Amino acid sequence: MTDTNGLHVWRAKARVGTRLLYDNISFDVDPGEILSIVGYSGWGKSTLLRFIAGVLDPSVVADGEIHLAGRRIDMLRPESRAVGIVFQSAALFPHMTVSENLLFSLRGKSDRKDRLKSALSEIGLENVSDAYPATLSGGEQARVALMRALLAQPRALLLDEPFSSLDASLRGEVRRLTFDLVRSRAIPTLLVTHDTEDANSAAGRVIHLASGGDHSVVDGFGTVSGLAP
Amino acid sequence: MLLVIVAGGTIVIALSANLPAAFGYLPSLGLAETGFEAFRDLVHTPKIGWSMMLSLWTALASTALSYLLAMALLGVVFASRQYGGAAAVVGNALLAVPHTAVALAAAFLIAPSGLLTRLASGIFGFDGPPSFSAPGDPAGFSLILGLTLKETPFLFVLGLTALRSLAARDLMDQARSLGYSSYRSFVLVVAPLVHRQVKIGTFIVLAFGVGATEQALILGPTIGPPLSVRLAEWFQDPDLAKRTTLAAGSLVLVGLVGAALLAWQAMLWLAGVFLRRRAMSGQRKGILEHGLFIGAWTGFGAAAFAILGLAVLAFSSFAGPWRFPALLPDSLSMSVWQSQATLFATPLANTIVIAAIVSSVALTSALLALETTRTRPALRTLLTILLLGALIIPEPSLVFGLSIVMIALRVDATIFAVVWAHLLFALPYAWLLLTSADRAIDPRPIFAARTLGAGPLETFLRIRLPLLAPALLTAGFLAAIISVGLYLPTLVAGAGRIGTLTTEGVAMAQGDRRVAGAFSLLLTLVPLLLLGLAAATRRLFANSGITP
Repeated sequence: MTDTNGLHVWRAKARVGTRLLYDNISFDVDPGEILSIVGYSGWGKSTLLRFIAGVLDPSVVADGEIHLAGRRIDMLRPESRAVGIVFQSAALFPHMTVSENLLFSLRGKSDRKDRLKSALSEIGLENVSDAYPATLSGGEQARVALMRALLAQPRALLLDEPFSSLDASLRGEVRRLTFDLVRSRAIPTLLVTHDTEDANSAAGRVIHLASGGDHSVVDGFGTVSGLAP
Repeated sequence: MLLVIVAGGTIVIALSANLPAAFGYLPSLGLAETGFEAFRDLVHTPKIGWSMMLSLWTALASTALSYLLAMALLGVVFASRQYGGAAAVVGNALLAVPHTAVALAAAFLIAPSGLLTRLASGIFGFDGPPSFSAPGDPAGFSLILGLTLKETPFLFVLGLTALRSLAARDLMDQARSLGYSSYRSFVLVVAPLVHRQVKIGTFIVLAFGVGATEQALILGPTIGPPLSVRLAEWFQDPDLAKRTTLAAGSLVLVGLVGAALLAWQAMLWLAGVFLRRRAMSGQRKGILEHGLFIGAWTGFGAAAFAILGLAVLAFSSFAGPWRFPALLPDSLSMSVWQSQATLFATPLANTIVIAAIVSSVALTSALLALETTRTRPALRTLLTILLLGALIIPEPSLVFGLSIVMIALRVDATIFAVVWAHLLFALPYAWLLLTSADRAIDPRPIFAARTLGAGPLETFLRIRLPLLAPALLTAGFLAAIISVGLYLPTLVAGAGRIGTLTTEGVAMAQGDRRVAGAFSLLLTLVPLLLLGLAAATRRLFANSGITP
């Protein structure tokens, strides 16, 4: 493990029924680092994130150790892990406005209004604070989802294909904002994507998942252009 | 179009038939002197104010309890990420059991000589049945219990359906990753969305509670009973002038439903404000999760209570002498089934025949309406509103109004009249189920068939009908199950001359417990058999690749 404040995953494996999804996956993510996991659909990338967040479907049997900020968390409930997750669908609460989605996540009793205002300003959405998610554009939804995850003060952040539903024109802008925000907070971040452009923009290390026969294995670490197993 | 006229017309005419009758104009019974006599008679009925308050109180309390228990059960089942299938089976089974059977079962458990006091006597050592008025307590607690036992499965099953159509799992996982427990996440994030989809269901439960008759006859107080029981008494009164009081009371009952809906909306609004404040406070822990846990276990207890009551009551029909405080009878006997076979045969046959006709007519009508309104969305919406209206208007108000129409047309006390009355309540459910299944059909195979040269009729027969077949069969079984359980429509439209398992079961509630047990067993078995057939059919279609 390179940093005790980082995220450390050791020998993760998962199977559904008799089908092995992935096996023997180990990696570290340092604070402020964005580690990308690249691989084809169905190779278990999202399952790996759900395993780390503790929100796996009961049909999936997963194993492995997860350490975060120096403590083992894989035995803890999702709400006790301090791991934030942003889904591809944004999963905004549809019955809450933008402000309410953020307030729901905000911890602590003091200065809630000021902190909300500052959060809205950081993502540039002050003008839609009272809007419901259904009326927002995809880019706006993605920004709210990201800020909502950050306001809960997670010790690690998991991004599950957060840009894949965005238009090409929006994708770059949301990517930049996302990477700036997570780096400024020095949170270890894991980005799952099938798009190598996302991994390139993150400008960090990349894990390539590849077929290991009937399941996924780590093909190597490195950058998108050059792997260093 | 014809169905819109017939279904909508029946509802409007049935409800409005009460209006002239309430003002004394009822020519079919030789009453033509108009005035306010019926309302005066109603107002001067002893304890009528109490009856109205009791109707309101029992309906609101049972609706609130059923709703809370159903939501708590949904929360715990959903948070468990499993058991959803098992919970759906139990929920559907309890939903299929008629109100009468559940009321008889509850009465058997809570009566002074019932199973619970027999168990208590073993602990506290008393030899004779204690003296308390349950069922039939003046404040209506027994009635609230009976209604809650029956309505919780309805709201629970509705909620399960709603959960399937929502992306609720991601929302729950999201809330948990923000630091909320699974129960708190359900209450603050998922429950408000489920509520949106079951809200109409709570209105139906509330309206039914205000007009509940068979459960009120079995579990409600006999002195100062709910208004619905008063109406049933006036219907059976040999003094025909009481029919005008009945009509006035039916209109008042509609007003009571309106008042109950307003009160319910106010309660929901307050609950919404409370939950929103909790959600916005950012607190990760509090009383909500404890409330959900307690509510769910109360819900499991209520389901176990209903199942135990039904089982023990069914068992009692095979009992010989069963003296207090014995937990088991002295012997087992088939005497009730042998000696009363003729007593069961006719109601059972009537029940099956009526249910079969109602099911067939409901199915045919719903299917025809579905096709004829396919290109007329406004007409389809109108039909849905009209049919839903039949579920929100209190049952007695509709049924007594319809009886006025039937008497005028001289069709009352016939199987036709009973089927007509049953359709008022069975058709809406068949329609809602079919329209929902129709919306879920992938239109592409239908477009493909048309582009391959198939005409509208061929496309309907060869593509759409097979795709709709599972839902059609389920709707048919559902209509039959509803028909089996209907008490007041059968009693009123049949003028007491066409006995079914439900009407006879209510009549036997105050008599020999073993006979009541036999009726309860039949009343439970017939719908469960239909439910089993529906499930088997769905499985058959699922195996053939057609999603029900």
